Amino acid sequence: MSKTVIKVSDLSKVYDLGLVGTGTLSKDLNRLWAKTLGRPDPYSTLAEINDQELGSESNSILALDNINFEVEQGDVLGIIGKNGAGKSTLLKILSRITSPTHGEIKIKGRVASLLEVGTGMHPEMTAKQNIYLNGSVMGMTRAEITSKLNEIVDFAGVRKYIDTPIKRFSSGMKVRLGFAVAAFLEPEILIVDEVLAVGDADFQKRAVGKMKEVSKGEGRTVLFVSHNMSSIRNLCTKGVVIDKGKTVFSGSANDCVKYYLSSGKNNTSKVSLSDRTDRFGNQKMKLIDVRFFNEHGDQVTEVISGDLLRIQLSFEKYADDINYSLFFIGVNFQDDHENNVLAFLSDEMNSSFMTLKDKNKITLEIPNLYLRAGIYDIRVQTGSGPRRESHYDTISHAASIQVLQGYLWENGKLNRPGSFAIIPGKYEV
Amino acid sequence: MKDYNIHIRPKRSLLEVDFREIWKYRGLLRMLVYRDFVTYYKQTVLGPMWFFIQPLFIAAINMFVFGQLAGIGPEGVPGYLFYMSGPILWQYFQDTFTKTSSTFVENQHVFGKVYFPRLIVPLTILISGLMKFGIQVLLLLGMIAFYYLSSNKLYIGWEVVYFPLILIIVMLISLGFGLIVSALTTKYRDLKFLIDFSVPLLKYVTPGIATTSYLILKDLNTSLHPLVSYNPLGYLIDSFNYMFVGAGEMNWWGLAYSSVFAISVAIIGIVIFNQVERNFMDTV
Repeated sequence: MSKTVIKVSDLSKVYDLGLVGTGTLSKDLNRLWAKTLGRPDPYSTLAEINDQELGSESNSILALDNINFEVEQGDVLGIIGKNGAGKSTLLKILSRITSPTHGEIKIKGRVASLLEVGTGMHPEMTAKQNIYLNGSVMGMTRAEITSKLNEIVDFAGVRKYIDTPIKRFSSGMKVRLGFAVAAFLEPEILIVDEVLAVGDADFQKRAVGKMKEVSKGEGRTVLFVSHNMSSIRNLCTKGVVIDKGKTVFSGSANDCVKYYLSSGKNNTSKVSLSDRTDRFGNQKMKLIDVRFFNEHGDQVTEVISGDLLRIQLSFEKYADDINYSLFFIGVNFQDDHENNVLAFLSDEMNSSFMTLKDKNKITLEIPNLYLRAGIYDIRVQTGSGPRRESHYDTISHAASIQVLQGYLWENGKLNRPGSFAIIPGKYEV
Repeated sequence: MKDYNIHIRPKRSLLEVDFREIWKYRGLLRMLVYRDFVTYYKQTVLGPMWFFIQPLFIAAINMFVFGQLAGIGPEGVPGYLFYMSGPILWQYFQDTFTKTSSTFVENQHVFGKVYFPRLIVPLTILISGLMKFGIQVLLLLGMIAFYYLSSNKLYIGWEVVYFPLILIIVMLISLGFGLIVSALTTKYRDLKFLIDFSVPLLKYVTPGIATTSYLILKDLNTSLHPLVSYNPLGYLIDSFNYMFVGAGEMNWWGLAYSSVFAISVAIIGIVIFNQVERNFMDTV
């Protein structure tokens, strides 16, 4: 017996770029004037356009386009999609922060949305007062909070500081407190945005555990949005893949993750590396080509585990002020869950790039690629330092390399496939 | 399935305000008022003493400027009492109005993350403001008692039974105007600046602050007369002064006008606010 608890029908959301206020009356009048003269809107922000292919002639973007899905009681639905695919808009509409342009959502039961933890907390108030405050903001009654106060305090691990104003708390403690309140909400439907991305590893584990418990043990419905494919696979039973505002796939969580990852790869193989626009950084230089070579200097697409691999990266420079003395390059190997499996970070490796000034190729030599068999994606970052703000160019799925089973242990036995590394070692009794 | 309890739809009809839901969230209202109460004077040396200091000083300054320099004070009542009572009610109006008008802008962070009926926030402002106002009214009563003891003259009248009515009308006006402005400031931040500087100016043409309406109408420039006669707050503050300190008048027609005005502006405010709250995150 399954009951539908959320029904989304024909849901669309249009953002009118041209109509959104610029913030001041004078600018709006200015814009109206430009419009009557047939000139382009002087304040349009191109960065807000969801998809470049839509072109700038349209004044509105369709953030969500005819979304339909149903969620049954007890489902843990993962919502998957690239940045800007419309996930956040969908969440905002589901949590009633903004309203749709067309369509309708029907929901049965009490909804709590966790787009952030600790919303509404006040720094001057004590932990206990903030539990009450945050709980009421989330829609709990005073009696409910009182009955769970002890559990919340223990879960957050702040018993000693219960009467301390939270402005004295570390940021981690505040997050724990916020999550603890949320964890003891008892809504029939819980909407979670990637809040799990915060907090330390131990706390994340507890948070994931709590979410599983909530959905499995108590038959509650959870909607979960994340970029982390392994947590989607871990937590969710069903999934929806959204791309450019449309549902492109729905099914079991596993199938969704597979679909999402393979669609990502298809996209990237169609477009040549230099034409790709899904990059981050200030683009003072750009990765335009990745090639793999084996120990004989032949260009390859696969390598045997444990063998030598050279990765040749070609760049194009677009600025004169590239900082060669602080130059940073990071090459990551990622598995199909987008987990980083290996990383070669130049700042840790004492590399010097002064001669890059007159050249545009960098080669990474890995003498023994001790990775288990599988297909790995290469993510490349360059910058004037390892920090994100100083990045020139960051691109995921720049290329992929197939690692074939190898013979690390020199006993003629093939290593089993599967993610992650094999490192030389020895058992002794 | 008929038993869906939440319907999310694009448009909301003009008069669809879910008061039952607001009632369900009364616990939140209570917590927010409590928060304001606890944090208002945190980390100040004098703490709640500021509630007293403010009206005492304003009264002294007004008495000097209007009573001594301009010489337009009311006759027959102690200037100090008069210059204390009017500004107390005015200050409540001004505080709640200006705070309510920045509801969306000030709370956009919270509003962007969690749903609750947005009207809760202006209601919180209205009620939190009462706390300060109540303390100041007690101070005023204390001053009235002091004058009674020292000069054996009681300035408070029996009309004080209408005080709750006056207060409710003031609350409705400040709520209504505040809601209208807050809805408009989601698009036009300029309004905030306009309000911040023009509302304090407005008090100079509001009877009951500098002098009574009777004296304004009798002595001052005739071009100011419409501002006095159409100013709903003037009748309210004048009546407030009359019932507490015996200066001014209770103009029943004026009060009726103020009530109609207050109810209309509150309804308009709630309707506009209710429309804007649905999509304000897209424009703010």
